[in-house]
Amino acid sequence: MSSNRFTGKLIRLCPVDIEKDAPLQAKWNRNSEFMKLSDIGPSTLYPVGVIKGFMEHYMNEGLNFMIETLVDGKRIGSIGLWGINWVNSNAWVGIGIGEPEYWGKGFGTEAMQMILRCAFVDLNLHRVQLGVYEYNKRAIHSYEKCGFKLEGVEREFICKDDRRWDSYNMGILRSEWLAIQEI
Amino acid sequence: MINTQLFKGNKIELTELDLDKDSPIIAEWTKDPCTFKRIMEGKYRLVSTAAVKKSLTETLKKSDERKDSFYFAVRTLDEQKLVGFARFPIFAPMHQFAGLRLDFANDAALKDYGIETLGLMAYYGFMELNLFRIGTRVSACELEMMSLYEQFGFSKDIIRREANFHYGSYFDEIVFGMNQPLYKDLYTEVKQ
Repeated sequence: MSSNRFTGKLIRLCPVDIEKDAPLQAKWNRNSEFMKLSDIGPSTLYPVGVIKGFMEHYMNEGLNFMIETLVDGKRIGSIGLWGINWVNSNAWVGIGIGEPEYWGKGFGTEAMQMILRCAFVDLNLHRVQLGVYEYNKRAIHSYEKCGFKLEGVEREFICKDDRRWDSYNMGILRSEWLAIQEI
Repeated sequence: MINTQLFKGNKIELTELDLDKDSPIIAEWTKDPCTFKRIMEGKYRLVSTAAVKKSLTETLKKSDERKDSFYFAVRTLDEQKLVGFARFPIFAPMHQFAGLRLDFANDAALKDYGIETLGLMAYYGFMELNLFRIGTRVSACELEMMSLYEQFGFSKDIIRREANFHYGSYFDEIVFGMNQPLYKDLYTEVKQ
């Protein structure tokens, strides 16, 4: 059992440092494309102090990490398990890559693969699930690569840019995750 | 249309909750694990009337402050007997979406009053709150509740596989949904 759970080939998962990371989150939030990809709420600009409050709340609620590149130690996003239900043995997962130049290059996929390992091996969860909007094709492709299966569609669920969009639900079971691991 | 009664059906009506009188009855309903999970937080366990009243009091207080959720008791018209608990606990006005939850005293109450309750809640949601979509979640072990939504016209939009654990097994969680255009086609004379 020698693998370092939190270091991959492109990124490492790091602890959240609210003082350092809240201003980063505030900076990423100014990119409304990032906000539309990652949040159901209206794109809005919260002060750093309010973001610190959100982060403290989420840190108490689930398992959260910052995503840092190995090559230059740059923090590019965050990922976390939330809504962990120990009786049902499942959790929701959410990820956001805040630096656009790192989109579509495998950084998010690797972070997701690493947190799934945490979920199924360390937390012994039975299932992990997520929601993603139909216009986020890049994320849908990434999740499929990680083994998530499309379980259904909430039709015309959200309203953005003057039209309605579907929300996809995807899930992966522990048995499915184990089956796709390299021995 | 303006004189349509929003809260009165033929056999039941939606009223405000009376926490002193209703909490002991609802506490009895929470002995069913699926009902418990919809009404209380935390792991399934036997809860006292005081605990249910405290939980509902906090919920109603938050709802009142944020004005973002809607809670109703379901009572028989003749005897004002509490037979169900209906609410939109989740409300996203920007997306015109609300989550719906229904609970009934038992399967007999669901059969007798379920379709009328759902009709009143759907009318309230689509025609008064101007929702575009109403969604709900049901465990696959709740056959009567699933049948109620299907009978009304909700579609099975998502099957979250093995998402709930009851009675020693994993069950799927079914997410049902209905959008306003379909509701209007089925239940009103107002066409888009």
